[in-house]
Amino acid sequence: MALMTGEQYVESIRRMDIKIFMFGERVSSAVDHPILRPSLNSVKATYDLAHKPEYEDLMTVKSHASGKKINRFCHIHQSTDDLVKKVKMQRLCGQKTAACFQRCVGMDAFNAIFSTSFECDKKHGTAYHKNFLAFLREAQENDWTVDGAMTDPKGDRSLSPGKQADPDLYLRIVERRKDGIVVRGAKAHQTGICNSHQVLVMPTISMGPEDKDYAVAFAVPLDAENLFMIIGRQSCDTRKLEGTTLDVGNSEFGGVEGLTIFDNVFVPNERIFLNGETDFSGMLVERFAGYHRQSYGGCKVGVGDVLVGAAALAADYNGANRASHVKDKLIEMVHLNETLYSSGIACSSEGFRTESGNYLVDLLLANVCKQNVTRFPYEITRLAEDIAGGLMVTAPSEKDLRDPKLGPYVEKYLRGVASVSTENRLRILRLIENLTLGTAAVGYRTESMHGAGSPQAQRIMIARQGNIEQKKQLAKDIARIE
Amino acid sequence: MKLPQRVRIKYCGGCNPRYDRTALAAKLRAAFPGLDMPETDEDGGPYDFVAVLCGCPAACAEHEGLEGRAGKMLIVSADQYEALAAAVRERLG
Repeated sequence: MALMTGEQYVESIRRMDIKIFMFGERVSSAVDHPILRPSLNSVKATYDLAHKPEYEDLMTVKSHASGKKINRFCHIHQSTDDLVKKVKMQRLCGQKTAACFQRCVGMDAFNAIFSTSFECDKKHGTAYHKNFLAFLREAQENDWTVDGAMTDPKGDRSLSPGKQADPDLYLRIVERRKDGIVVRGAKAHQTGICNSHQVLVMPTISMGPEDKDYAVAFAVPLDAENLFMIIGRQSCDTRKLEGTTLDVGNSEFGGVEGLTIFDNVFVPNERIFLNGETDFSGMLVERFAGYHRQSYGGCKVGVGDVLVGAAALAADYNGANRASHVKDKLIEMVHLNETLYSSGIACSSEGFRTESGNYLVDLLLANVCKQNVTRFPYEITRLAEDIAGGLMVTAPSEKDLRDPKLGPYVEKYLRGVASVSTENRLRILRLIENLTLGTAAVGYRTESMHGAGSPQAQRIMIARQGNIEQKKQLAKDIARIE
Repeated sequence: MKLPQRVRIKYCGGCNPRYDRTALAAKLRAAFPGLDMPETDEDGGPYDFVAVLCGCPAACAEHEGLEGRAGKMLIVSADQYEALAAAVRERLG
């Protein structure tokens, strides 16, 4: 089953015993819960789109391992063209869901571990690459959604993992057995983990020799024993419990995060991809971050496309569409959005082959891409709110619109242009609300800031890769300084 | 029984199409009801003609190895519809 259908994916998640907690209670499954279902639907879209002829050129690819047609989300990049197509696929998925569709993180983890395990084996004589290839083949064959988990809670940021007051604030190995390891710790901010098949865990920072137990990478199924998650709250999340479609803005798609706890989870030897080789922890982090910073040059752009369209419709619906300042604001939104895309494409086109044979993005350009993402979506949302007007946050509820007594007043006084229904006007405004400050703002705004590393993390990488000395020499040459 | 001639419709991935590629394909189908126009290789070739519908001038669709007996045409804009229809008419007519 190298390509699952959306429905097959849903049923495969339903069959798993994933331990999810929310509002202090166990949730039986992400499949049937109204707060979690939109997140599952976003991933489902990645399966559905792969079966549509008009999208298969981006959504599917031939596996380098098996030669079979697979979902691109399970692919190991074989060229810069693959890197470019990844970004294009992400833009497409963002356009179709207006949400985080969650599978990028696994794809980015696949590619980072693929090359890092190869180089680690070469230096240390370990067998992690072989382990990883076996896992990858299974992931491709079963078309798994894999959550790539990097971010530890980190406790006191001024202290290294081993110096924390609580040693579990970075995920660590607590026991080494003949047949595997036992790990304890947590991974925070895991988007879509409640509807994934497997979790691929990586260390979160570069490490010194004293942090051997923290330099660990592995995979386990999400229903592994002693693994559970606590779902994060989102603004407006309980609107999804009200049973209406208008007020949630995007009733079908979304993304949710979970604090994922590994409370002494056993990992068999064959699923271990790093075990104490602290000198490769930094490489793994840097490569994963590079891929994931590239990802944002695709996914956020696709969501931005939807927001630009929503803002334009809001102007159409209230008759402001011909105003020159509105046109100019839409142009600015497109300019910012396409600038994000440009850096996503640029870091892909300038990618290079690693020792293992897969392709890595240009790290300077990937970090520039993500640095832009920490800023431009905020300006795009500001402009969208400007065009939308205050009604996006003051409009009455869908229940009021449907109420026999109140509805006619809502219809009458909140109408924009006569040719568009009040309901449609409110639908667009609620979508803008959803993206700018509702549940989807988690993905489009704050995740743009902190996902794949907070702004300072990119600035450190830009400083490292910026090649200032060469630029000094250029200036000296022009100025004729010996 | 003579089998209908086949025009293979191949799409690019559709990340940011500047026109509706599926609508253009539907228009072509409506104009040539006697032709078979598969969108996948499920039934295999050969094909009499191949229409590669790309959403923009980047034309990144992978169509290497996809050939039509009477040729192949790359479309990157809705404005090319008439030319595509004319090519199908002339070459398969």
